[in-house]
Amino acid sequence: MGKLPVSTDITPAEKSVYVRWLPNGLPAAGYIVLQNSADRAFDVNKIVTPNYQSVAIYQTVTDGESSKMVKHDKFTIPAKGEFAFVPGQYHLMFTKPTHVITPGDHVRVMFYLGDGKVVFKIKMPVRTSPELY
Amino acid sequence: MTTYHLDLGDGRTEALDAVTKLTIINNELDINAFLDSKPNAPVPLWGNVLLTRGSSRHEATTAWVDEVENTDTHQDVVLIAGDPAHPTSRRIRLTDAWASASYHLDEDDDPDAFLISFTDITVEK
Repeated sequence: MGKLPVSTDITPAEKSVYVRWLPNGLPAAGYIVLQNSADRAFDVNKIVTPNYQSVAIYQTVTDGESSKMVKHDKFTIPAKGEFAFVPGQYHLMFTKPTHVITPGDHVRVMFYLGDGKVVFKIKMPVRTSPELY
Repeated sequence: MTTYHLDLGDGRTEALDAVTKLTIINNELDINAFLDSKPNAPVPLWGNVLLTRGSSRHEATTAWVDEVENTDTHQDVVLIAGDPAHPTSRRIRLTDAWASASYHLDEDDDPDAFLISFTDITVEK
């Protein structure tokens, strides 16, 4: 059986993609705005990377003067819309690097879209600050 | 209908199934309309374009994508509009380009499509 047509409905927003580096192998936050040009929404319930032992979806929730991080198992990119991992809201949390990672490196990330038959791969640049993009 | 080829250098090319989602300075354009518009401009036209591969694939393309996927080693990418062997076929140069995302039907490293980001786009012929 031949391959199915590839879905190319998801694209990253210009200059929205980076991993904020912290020293000593500390967990790193990843940011990306995923734009969906399709008429249907995509669930993403699996994200993997070879550069860290785990990657998780977190949301910063503010309640009055306190804030906490809430873990999510999946997220949805709405039809003709976008899902934003941006500072202060949602972010990807990369923990336990599998090798030494320094600013200037790239983190390979695979997002499994919908039923998982299509993966969207991206190399996220590692930065100390988004201004250094 | 214009067909497009990816120029892999050394006379090697790969036919593309589709060239879509051309975005220049955040405006989405049809690639054929762009070609017909005498597009060369005095200012850099930065943006993205999505290249979808066909069923006949060159083994060098996966290695090529891996090379241009590295944002530290930007390079020019050339698309050929029409027959690559024909001397009048126009060449679209994507300056300082890199593959910013790729699309796969499974986890292997052979991408089925990839997004090219560039800092300028010019038509050479």
